[in-house]
Amino acid sequence: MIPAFRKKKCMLQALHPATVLTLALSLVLVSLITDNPLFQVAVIAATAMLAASAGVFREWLSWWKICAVVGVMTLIINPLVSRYGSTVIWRGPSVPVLGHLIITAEAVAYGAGMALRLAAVIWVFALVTLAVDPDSVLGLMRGRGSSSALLSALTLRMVPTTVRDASELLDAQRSRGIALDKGSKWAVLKSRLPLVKRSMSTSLDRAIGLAEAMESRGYGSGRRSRYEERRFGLLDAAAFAVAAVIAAVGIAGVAAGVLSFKYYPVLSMRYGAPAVLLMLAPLVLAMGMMVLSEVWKRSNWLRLRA
Amino acid sequence: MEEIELVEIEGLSYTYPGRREPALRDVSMSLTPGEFVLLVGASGSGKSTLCRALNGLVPHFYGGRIGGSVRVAGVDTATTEVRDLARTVGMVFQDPENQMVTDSPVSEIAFGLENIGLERLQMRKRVEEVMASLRLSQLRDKRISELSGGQKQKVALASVLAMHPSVLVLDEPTSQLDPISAEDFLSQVKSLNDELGLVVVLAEHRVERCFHFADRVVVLDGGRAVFAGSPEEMARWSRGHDWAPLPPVTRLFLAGSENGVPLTVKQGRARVAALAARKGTGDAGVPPALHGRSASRSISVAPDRPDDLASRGSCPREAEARLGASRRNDVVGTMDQRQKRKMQNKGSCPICCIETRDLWHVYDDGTEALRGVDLSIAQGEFVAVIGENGSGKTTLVRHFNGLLRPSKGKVLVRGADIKDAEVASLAAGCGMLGQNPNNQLVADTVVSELAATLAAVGAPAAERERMIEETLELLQIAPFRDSDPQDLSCGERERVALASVLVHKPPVLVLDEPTRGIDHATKDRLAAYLREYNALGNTVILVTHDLEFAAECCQRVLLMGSGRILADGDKHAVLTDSLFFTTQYNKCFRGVADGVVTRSEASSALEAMS
Repeated sequence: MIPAFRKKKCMLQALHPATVLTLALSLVLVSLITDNPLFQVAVIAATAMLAASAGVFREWLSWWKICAVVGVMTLIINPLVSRYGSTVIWRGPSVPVLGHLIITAEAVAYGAGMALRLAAVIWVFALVTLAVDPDSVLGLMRGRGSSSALLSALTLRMVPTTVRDASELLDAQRSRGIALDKGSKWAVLKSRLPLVKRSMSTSLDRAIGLAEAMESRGYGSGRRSRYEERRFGLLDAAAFAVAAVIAAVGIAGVAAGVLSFKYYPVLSMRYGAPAVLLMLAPLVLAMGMMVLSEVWKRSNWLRLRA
Repeated sequence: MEEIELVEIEGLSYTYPGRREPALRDVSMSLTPGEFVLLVGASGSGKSTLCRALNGLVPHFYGGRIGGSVRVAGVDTATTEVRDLARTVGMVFQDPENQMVTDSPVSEIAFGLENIGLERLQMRKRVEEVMASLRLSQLRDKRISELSGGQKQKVALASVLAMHPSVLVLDEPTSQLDPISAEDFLSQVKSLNDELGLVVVLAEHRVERCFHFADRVVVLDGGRAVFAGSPEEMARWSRGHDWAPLPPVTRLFLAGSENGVPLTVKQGRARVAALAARKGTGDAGVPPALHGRSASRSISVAPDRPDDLASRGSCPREAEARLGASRRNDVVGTMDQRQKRKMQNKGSCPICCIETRDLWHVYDDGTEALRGVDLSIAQGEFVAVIGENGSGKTTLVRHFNGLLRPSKGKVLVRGADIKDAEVASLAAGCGMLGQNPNNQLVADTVVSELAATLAAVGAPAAERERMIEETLELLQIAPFRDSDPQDLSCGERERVALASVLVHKPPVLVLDEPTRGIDHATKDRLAAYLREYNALGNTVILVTHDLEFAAECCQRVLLMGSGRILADGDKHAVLTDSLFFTTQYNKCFRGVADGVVTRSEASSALEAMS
């Protein structure tokens, strides 16, 4: 099971949800615009530091399985479909659709780079999932947006319930002696098809129950008021600044070619002090956030201004 | 002075869309401020529909045809939207899982207030107030998904109360909760009724928890209100209506009691004490059944176990084995855990069908659900597994057919370790019915539901038709043979689900909470089927919170707590030794008559005293 948000006493959770989303967005942005794998590693490390500062490092790390699956797929698919690169490491037979198989070292490296990029994005998403209260994100939406956000939140919340219902349904059928896992994949699928109807009907019953409960509590009466009104504080300003610097570092690095990394036709990278400095920037900033978070935990003065 | 009526229901009839039979027929009643009304009746009698008519969900949400009127605080619910009635009528539903909109208790409570556009300051005041009054403040930082069923239901109650309704409607709110949570929840509701003067309309099956709270009991049958009166009047009325639900203690004193009947255990105990005192001092000849105890007079009541076993007609070897197991377990119940393990590990049970050795189960989140359970169950035993929620009951029985695998230790079925056996292959030997019977029902007709099980366990083709017919007859579901199981009532679905497991006659039958949410009559029928099935020499294992049901059906009781077996033995030994995990009968006769746990034993004890 993927771990979900839990309330903890940490600075990241005390920030305005928009601030944390901006911070996450800046990390995703720099990860998407740069090709440099070392910079991707720096982004992942910075995200890990932020997760540690929020006290969710173990849960954050458990997303490695998703990263690994996506990464391995990228690592396999790219060399098979890419014909670029000058260092051929294997020539294979001709296969339908793909033609002659030629695996180059550069294509493998590009696959690895893409895998790192995807891992960085997934881990930033993991951080947001673990550290930002979904109800507070819901609170950011107003007007028509709030209905859509509520619908999305309810749908997401129903996912684990539906998974649990489906698992109970499968267990009930197995307990009757119905073999649901035997035979070919097609046989397995066929034996499970009748359960889809039941599963859908259970989900529908739950949805109707929820709709009844919502209507009974006045949902749709008119303009809604809001219980939580989060205000931006001193720490939000600091976190916005961190997000802005990270984005600026990435954009400037790419524009100036300092963070340049070329995969084709041969692997090439610009070395030098500016490149190292830019790569260290996300780490230093995340470290700063970690220190600030520790101070926040101990300082009433800072907490009251957060 | 004439009381003002807050709710007026006049000639209310209602038919759901697509249905021919009305769910409510000509129901009339009025409710005054501060009244606590208990709605009782069999499944499908119209309780939930009447609850939904009070806040306008019927007809606004469901459609259908409505006749008559419901007026709440002078407003006709048929012409007023549900959301506009939300400030006057608050409703708590059956399943806490289906009524949570957000993922934090605070925002859940605030949800309704946001909907009606309340100012933030007022919202904050109301949220804090209800959280404090329902003792929810310590849950403030938890996620809804981390709460227990009872806590979720309290949050649902708080979210309704925050809207300051005048009428609180609760549709079987405790049916998904364990007895302790249910008791706690209903006590909160009663104190709200007492202190705030809220009108409470409560629909319930398990009346023993709330019968004495009610100012008025309304009995529904086939959509009609067939009785309305005080609990005492209802008890008297039920003399000619055996199906009417009553608390066990009330039912016990009903026969022959011309005056008032006790509604609570406390009143029952007082009645028993009075009878015992009269017998002890007034009568010259003290019956042999009465004998002195150290501090008080005590009556010995012959337990109904040996008679039960003899009358079941099972083979003598099995009956003896059962008695042997019971006797052995009488002792086991009083031994310490180490001695118990030693004895059970010696393989002293010659016809053991299920055995666990140092069974541990740790879930992925680190929860130690079972901690070194040693257990052996002989063929032909009828065992109840009891204990609070989270004590490991369900986890334990899910090991018997391989749905869960031990984290450590062994599970032996007929002496063979089932470590590598598939669930489907174990099903022929161990049938299991889970908590939700709906999960069992996937076919289009009742007959094909049963046929699917027979095909799965590889029953001989020539025998299948006969086996299906026998099961349909046994569970009295033959009239629904061609019906879609989903179209049947709750009690009927329960029986079809049971039939889908029983049809191939597994020698071991495991039922997890089979009485949850079912009415009194269905429960009695279920008890009869299970006794009959056990009498054929089959093993029945029951996981239940319903201690009266367990005592009536079973011989052996396992009390679990924190993943361990706390007591294991004959039902009399275990239930009489427990203060809380025992029946109302035992609580009534404690200190006066030994070993009373079932209704027949309680009746015998009463007879001996009168």
